[in-house]
Formats: sequence, C-alpha cells, structure tokens
Amino acid sequence: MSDDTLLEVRNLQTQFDTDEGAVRAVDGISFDVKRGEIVGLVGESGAGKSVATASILRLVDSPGRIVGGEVTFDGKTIVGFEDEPDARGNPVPRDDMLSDEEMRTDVRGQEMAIILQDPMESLNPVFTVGTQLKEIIQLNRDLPSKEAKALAVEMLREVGIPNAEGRFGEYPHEFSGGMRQRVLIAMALACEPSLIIADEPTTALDVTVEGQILNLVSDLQERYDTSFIWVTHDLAVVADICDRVNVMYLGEIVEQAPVVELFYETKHPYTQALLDSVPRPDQTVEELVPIEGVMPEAIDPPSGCRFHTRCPEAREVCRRHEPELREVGDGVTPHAGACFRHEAFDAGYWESDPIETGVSNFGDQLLTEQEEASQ
Amino acid sequence: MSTADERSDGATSRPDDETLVRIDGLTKHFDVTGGLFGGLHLDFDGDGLPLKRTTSEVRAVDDVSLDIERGETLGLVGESGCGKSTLGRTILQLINPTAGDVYFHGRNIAELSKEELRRARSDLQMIFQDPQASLNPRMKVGPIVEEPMKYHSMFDADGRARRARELLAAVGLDPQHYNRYPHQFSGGQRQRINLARALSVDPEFIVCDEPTSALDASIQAQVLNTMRDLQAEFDLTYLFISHDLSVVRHISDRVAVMYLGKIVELADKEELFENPKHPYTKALLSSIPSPDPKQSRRRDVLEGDVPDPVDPPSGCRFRTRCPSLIAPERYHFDERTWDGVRSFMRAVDRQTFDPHDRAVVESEFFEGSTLTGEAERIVERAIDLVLADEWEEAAALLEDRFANESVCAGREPAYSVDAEEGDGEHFVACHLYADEHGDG
Amino acid sequence: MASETVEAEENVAGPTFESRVGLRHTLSRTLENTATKLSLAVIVVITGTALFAFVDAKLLDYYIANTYLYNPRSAPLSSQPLLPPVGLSNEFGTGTLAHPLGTDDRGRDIVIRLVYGSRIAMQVALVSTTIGMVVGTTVGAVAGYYGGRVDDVIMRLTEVLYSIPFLVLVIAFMTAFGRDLLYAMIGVSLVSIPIFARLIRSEVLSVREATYVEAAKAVGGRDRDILVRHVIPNSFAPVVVQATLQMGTNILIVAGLSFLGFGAQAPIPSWGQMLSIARNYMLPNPWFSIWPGLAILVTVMAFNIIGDGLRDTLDPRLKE
Repeated sequence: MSDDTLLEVRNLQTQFDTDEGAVRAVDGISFDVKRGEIVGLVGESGAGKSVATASILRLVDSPGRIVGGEVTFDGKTIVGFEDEPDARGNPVPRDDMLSDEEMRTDVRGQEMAIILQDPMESLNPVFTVGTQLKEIIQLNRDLPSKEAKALAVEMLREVGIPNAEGRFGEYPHEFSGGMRQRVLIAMALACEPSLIIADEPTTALDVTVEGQILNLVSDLQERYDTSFIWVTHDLAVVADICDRVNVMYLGEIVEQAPVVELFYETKHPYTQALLDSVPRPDQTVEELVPIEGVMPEAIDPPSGCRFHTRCPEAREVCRRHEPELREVGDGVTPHAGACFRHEAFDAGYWESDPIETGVSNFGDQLLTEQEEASQ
Repeated sequence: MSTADERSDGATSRPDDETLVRIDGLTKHFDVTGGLFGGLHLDFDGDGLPLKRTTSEVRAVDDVSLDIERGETLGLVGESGCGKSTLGRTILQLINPTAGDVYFHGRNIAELSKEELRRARSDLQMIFQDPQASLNPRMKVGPIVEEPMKYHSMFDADGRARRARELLAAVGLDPQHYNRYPHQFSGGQRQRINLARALSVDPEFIVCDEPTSALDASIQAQVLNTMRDLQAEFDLTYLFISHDLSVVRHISDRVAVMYLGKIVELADKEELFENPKHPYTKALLSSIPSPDPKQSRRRDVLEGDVPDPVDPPSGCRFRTRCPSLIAPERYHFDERTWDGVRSFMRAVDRQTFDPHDRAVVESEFFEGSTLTGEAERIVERAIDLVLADEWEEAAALLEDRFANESVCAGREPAYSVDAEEGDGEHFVACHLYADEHGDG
Repeated sequence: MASETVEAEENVAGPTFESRVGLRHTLSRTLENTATKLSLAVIVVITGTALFAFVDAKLLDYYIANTYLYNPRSAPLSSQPLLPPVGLSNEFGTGTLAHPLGTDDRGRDIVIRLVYGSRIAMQVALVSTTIGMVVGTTVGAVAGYYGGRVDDVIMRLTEVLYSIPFLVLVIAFMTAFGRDLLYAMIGVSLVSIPIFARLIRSEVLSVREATYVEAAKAVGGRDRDILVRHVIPNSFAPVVVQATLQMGTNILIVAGLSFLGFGAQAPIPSWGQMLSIARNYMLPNPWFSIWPGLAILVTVMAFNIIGDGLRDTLDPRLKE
C-alpha cells in the first residue's frame, strides 16, 4: 500500500444471517482512502453504505458478521482472514487482525471517529454537552481535568459554537439540530483522528444549516488534514464536498471515480440514472427521468449485473454474467466502473440482445416475482 | 362527483374565477404555557391576588394571505419550524385557526359547522409526509381507498370497490393488490396508495405536505411524475409544501417562501429562482449544494439559528439574521461603517471573538469606518462593556440603539415589485424594495 | 449503525410477506416459542379439566357431600386422611394408587379436589379479568379520546382506586357485600380496572395523534367512524397482552383471598383454600401443601409466559 493511502478496503463482505438465509449486505467492495481526502459513499437506502462503514469500524452486530475481505488502516489489520476457512466453513481471523479490545482502545475514537445522522442519538441527554466532550478528551488523550476542559471549550469554539464557555454547561436538548451536529464534529475531532466516518451527517438538517456544516467541515478538513468517508444519498452533497466517490448499488460498488469525472464522464448507467432522477436547484428540469422499479431485496439479488432489472441499457449478457469493477477511464484519471458497455470488458455486450426491463408500472416487479414464487 | 359540483354551483360569491382558494389573514398561535399550573407566577405589585398567569404562544402562522389559482401548483418552501406544515393544516381546518379566513370557491370554510366542514372535505384533500404512518396498518389497501367514498356516501359497495381498483391503476399500482396490507408495499408505492385515497372523492384541491421527502431519490422522481400526470388528468390544484428547493422548483408554478410564520416572498417559479429579492430567499438558494462539482464550493451561509417563535422579532422577522439589515437613518452611516457596526453587533450577540484590547477590536470591525457623534459614543461604550466581560449588556445596548432603530425593526414590510421573468406578481416582504414598490 | 440494521431487516422482510397483521399470524408468530407452546398446552389442559368439572357440577356436589367427605360415622366411605402420594409412606400410612397424589386432612382425594379447584381458578381468571377489561378499557378509551375535563375526572378516580392496597380494597368490598366467590371476583376486577384504564388511555392518546387518524379526519370521517375503524383496533393489542397477564394475577389474588378465608367457601374446593388447610399439616405431610401450590404456580406461570409471548408479537414498541 502506497504511503499516502490511509485506509485500504479489499473485497470486504458482510452478511446478516437470518431465518430466510444469508443477506449479503456488503458483497465484496474495495476502495481506498488517501490521507487528507474526502471519499464519498453514495447510494440509496438498502445499498449497504452504512453496513460498509460499520464493518470498517468493526461495529457490526449480530446477526451481522464480516465474512471476508481485508481492511488495512494505517498499517494495522482491521479485518483479515486466513486463506482456509475452518471445518464449518467459517472464516478464521488472522493473527495480525486487531482484537476487539484493541479496536476499542486504539482505533475507535483515537484514530477513527464517527459522526452519525441523528446527533440526539449520539449524545447522552442527562449529561451536559461539555461534560461529554471533556470525558472523551480525558479518555483518549490522558489529560488532567482542567486542561481537558480548556481544550473542550476550545473545540466548541473551533466548530463555531457561539459563547462556547457559557454553552459548555448546557444539555443537548438546549442545542438546535445544527449546533448538536457541531458538537458531534467537535467530539470526533477532539482526538485528532486520521479518519472520520460521517454517516449522513447533514441529512436531518435544514439547507441553511447543512450549508453551514459543509463549510465548517471543509475548513476543518483543511486545517487538520483529516480524511473523511462521507456516506450520503445526496449527490449534491457529494458534488460539493467529496474528492473521490464510490457509488454503491445492492451491496456492490458500481462506479468509482474522482468527483468531477463521476459527474461529467459518468460510466455506469445507475450513476447516470441517479443523476437524471434528481431535480436541480439551479435550473428548471421539465421532465425527471425516474429509475424504474425498486431496489431488489439483498437476500435474493438478481443474477448477473445486479442493476440489470432496472437498467435502460441492459442486454442479455448483463443477465448472465456479473461485471466486476474494472478500470474504464481514459487512462489519465483513474475511473472504475462495473458495466459491460465499456471496452475493458469485451464481454460481447454490443452483440447481445437488449432485454425488456421497462417495468411499465412503477416497480411492482418485485412483488410480482414473489407472487409467482408463492404460487 | 355530482355532489361536489352542486355545492360549488350553489356557492354565493365568486370574486375571481381563477382563484380557487383565497387565504386571508390566516393566523395560528399555539399555547405552550403547559400543564395545569403552567404560567403561574407570583406578582405582588398588582392589585388583587398576587397570583398571575401569563401565557406564552408559539406564533406558528402569523397573518398569512395567499391566493391559490385553479389548476396551479403553489410551492411553499421554508425550513423546519417555519410554520409551513401548520399553514397547510390550518388551510384545511385540520387545525382550527386562531384568526383569519379561508375561502374555497368564495365560501368561507373557517366558519362552517363541524358537519358542513366534514362534507366539504370531499373537495379538499391532503397527502402526508410519511407514507407509512398515514395508512392504518390494520386495514387493507382496498378499504383504505374506499374509506373516503364511504364517508361521503358515494356509490354502493360494488361501485366503491370498482373505483378503488381504477384508482389503484391510475396511480400506477396493480389493481390486484387491492387485498394487501400497506406494509407489503415499498415507500413509493405507499405514497401512491395515499394519492389514490385522496383522489377517490374527486377533490379539487390537495395539500401535499412534503410528499416525497421520505423517499429515495429515484423513487421520488417516479412519484413526482405521477403527481404531475394526475394533476392534468384529474384537474387538480396543489399546495406543495417542501423544504427541498429543487423539488419545489421542479413541480411548482409559483413559489412562496416562508420564514418564522410569515410569507417573505412569493413569485412565479422562474422569477423566484432566477431573481430572488428577499435576503432570506437569496440565502436559502445559495445554501443548497448543487449537483455540479465544478461549481463554486463556497456558499454564503446564514449565521445563527432561527429565533424563538414565541417571541419573534418586531418588524421584519428575518432582520436578526439578515445580512442586508438597513442602517438606521438617524446616524447617517456610510456603507462601510454600517457593515462594521452590523458585524460587530452580531459578533457581540453571539460572543464569537476573544476581546483582549480595544485596538484589536476596533481594527477588526471598524477599520476604515467613519464613526462620529452619538454612534461613536455607543460603540465605545459597547467595547468597554465587552472588555469588562459584560457581553449581554453590550449586546442589549447595541440592539437597542442600532438594530431597533432600523426601519426593519419598526415596520412590517410588504411590497410588490415588477417581475423580471414573466408577467406575474412578485411579492417581497423586505424594506430594501420600498422604492421599487408599485401601486399594488 | 442502527439505521442500517433496520435497512437490513427491511431487506430480509421481503420473503416473509404473508400477512404480518391479523389473528392467524399473531398466533403462529407467538407459538414459534417453545415455552409459549408449552404454556398454551398447560392452559388448554387446565381449561379442559375445569370444563369437565363444570359439566360435572352435579356429580361434584354429590361427591363433595358424600363420597369422600370424612365422616366418622361412615368410615368405610372415606379414606385415611393425610396419605402421601403413591409409593411414599409417612406416619399415616402408605400412598395407594386409589389416591395418586395422596389425601387431605379429611381423607379426600387430592387429584379430584385439584381438578375441581381448577374450576374456581379458571372462573376467577375469566370473569374477573373480563369485568376489569371491559369496564377499564371503556372508561380509559373515553378518557383518552375526549381528553380535557372528562379525562381529568376519570383518571383521578382511577388513581384513587389505584392508591388503595388491593387486599384491603377487596376485603373491604367483600366485608360490605358478602364473602361469596362472586363478590371476590368483582372485588378482584376492581383492582384491575385502573390498570386497563390507564393502559388503553395512554395507547389511545398516542394513536389519536397518529397520521392515519389525521388522514381519516382529512378525508371527512366522523368521530365515531374514526374511533371504531382506526383508534380502537390500533390500541387494543396491549390490552390483550395485559388481559392474559391479568388472568394469572387474578388467580393469585383469589387464591390469596381463599387462603385468608375469603372467596370460595368450604366445602367447595379451591386451590387457595386447600393451601390454607394444608398449612397446618406442613410437617407431617408436606405433599398436601405442595400440590395446590404447584397448581397455582404452573397456571399463573403459563398465563404469564403466554402474555409475554403475545406482547412480543403484538406490541410494536418492544420490537427490534
């Protein structure tokens, strides 16, 4: 792994064991995060974005478990398995994989921090904001109480909380949503982690507050040189803040590119469809082109390319073979896509017959399939 | 339906054929005093018992007047807590207004009896934000869609079932799904069920309260397209409430912007998005991230939070955050000086700087300013207070002597200016446009 | 993270698409649990026994009056008192197959007395719980739906009821009206009225605010329609759960009353009263007290386990 790569995710797989079978919520994703960059993880709900970040933090709870792949962070093995599974077919953790205890004490909070969508859930309502921030600082930085408090006030001021000293002693409910999100950012930054995972941090906020937070994050990111994984469903936020983007669909990454290339040289029909389906604030779009249907269930993903059931470009080959993520760019800027339409694949897409995917009526396909199955 | 037609024909006055809903001075205040003994306090200065009760009210919607034209989609945007949902519900009389009238076809529905209002509801429908929560989980889709027809005694049971199936098809669902429960559908499909239910009684006017904000982007586009198609097919008028400016730009004909219980700007869509006048609208538009990575990443964002609606600012409600607050006339500030005073005022109020010595403060805020006379004395005094750590007193002094002297604090603005795009009316509640104000 | 778990659950929810609401589904979901299944079997057996005892009431009276009643003058009819279960022996003799669980202080067969005791237990469970549930839910639903003054008055009254220790309440009630089993049941239902009233009230209060209730108003529903079609069906699940739990509790209360000499009067056999008598013979024949104790324990536990099982399937607040 090159020097400036902070996080390397290779073929990560996380599944949920349910009565109906294993749900492969994350199915073999690979991406890197370099030092000081903001990497986007975009997708609709159910794409597996949050499971992916939970896996990187090793916070997947039962019935979910990480079943394969490698995650390396700053030279430490967060996820790593032996080549051979054990007798029952379960993956065996490698010796160099960090223990749960090491993850808790050395990585989470210290080196990796997380900012969640709902700040109220991450703050304990019975303690003052200051106490909670101070505690995190004391815990992770080994500072005496007085210095920790001074640093906490300093951090609150840093994230733009007015009258930081006065508000130190207030409770979370006395803060507005945007102010709470600022407190969480302060908490995440307090230990100067090298990676912050932000899981839809602005989704619950109003536009003007979202704007404030995005500005704040850009500023802080420049000052602290922290890397971010920014999980969101909002392409506008991605365009605004990210350096590189991964687009997820049904547990897989379908396109991976620097942000400008992703928007201007879109290589995957799903990304294109997402872009076409959102109305724009800066120009009037007369007709939106929606993506037909709904995302299939992860328990029973479509054969071949997972997007083929909704893809306007789908052909026979897409149903039969699964495209992996391949370099499809111009050779100058790295740009990976998982679609047979590109030369890199040579899978006979152009010779293959187009298939009818236009579910004329709004995504009843899933239910119809189930009906057939039950009959 | 025939019942609806008869009623509208029988309406006594129709001032304007184009206007379907006229909202006049609509106001809703919520009492938030709370509890049996809430608001009680001791007061020994007054006469009689020393026990007094003061109530506090959230002024969610305050004196809003609007005309909604037949067949249009009026977008209503604003941030959470601005009162847009309350306005929608108050128009439909789902919440009783504190004051004001709502005329539907010239008939004041705010004065109807309970039963009259209930009957009138066949023309006035609503779509809610959460498609799942607005469907009774224990009822099947068919009965859900038939329910309104039952309440308004339309058709017999067979006729209702037939119409329900037709409606399911019209909103893009499979009529075979008549016997399913709501949880068996995806979010977008549930919102379609809501649409079918609202349409079942052939309404003329539908209030849509954030109908797509709970949906994924791709599903949102499907639902928005369907809503447009249905509007044409069923001859509907929408009041489309949303916090999402992009969606509003897509679906609306005209757009109203709401802030803290008031409409601050109202214009045709293109006019509003291309030539926003009100500083709040401008701030909103500049805050939204645009799905174009090549555009500038830096936005001018608003500072601070929305003031408490229990005690909103006098005059223009946006003035406490307004970047274009008008200078009080009595001090004869030049632009540079007023900028300095204004940012100093905000900084003191929010306590955002660390005061060490007078020179630093003065150079930070008043470099190149020409403060003279009374204004200079006030600023000097405020800096003294800040240096003595008396932030609140300093803030109060500045507010009292500068902010409250502005025309923005004195009078409530309401102007109509010439539209640059199209020939529609452009209403803007900002004193900056006092000079451009036409005769309207 | 939590949100993603939900997403994942949504994903897997697909194949289990058959109705998630409705009685059949509730039952089948509830019965997935082995403990619940066993408990239901227990209740079915006890109910069957009780029904048999009901049908056979005439026989019962005859039986109580004559067959096994200890009568010094007709000694051959009665057995040796205080016999242990079959296969064991104590100072009074050795257990026989004729009295598999032994005999009581008057030589009556314990199996038969337990069977007839179940009649009282189930009667109490059913009658007192039903009275409490019907009165409690009506009162509570009215309070919750109309709110304001009505709510204040009703809820203050139930609080008064709630504040009296339940044994004192029931005993006072029975002292005033009579020591009969009927009054015991009414007295016990008094105890559960405030429980049901509060439960449904809080439920109605939240359902009343649900968007689908607002939607029903928006489409032009009358109050009555909204109550019947939307509010009550969606508030009732916790009441069903509580009713099941309450059956167990009420059996326990009445057993306690019988133990103290209230409730079913001798010679009608009830479990509580059997315990009360057996208390005097704890040392010479502990079995005498173990059996009715066990009967109470098993029945009450079965009701509670079923109640918990129902709660898991019916009460959405406890899901996840």
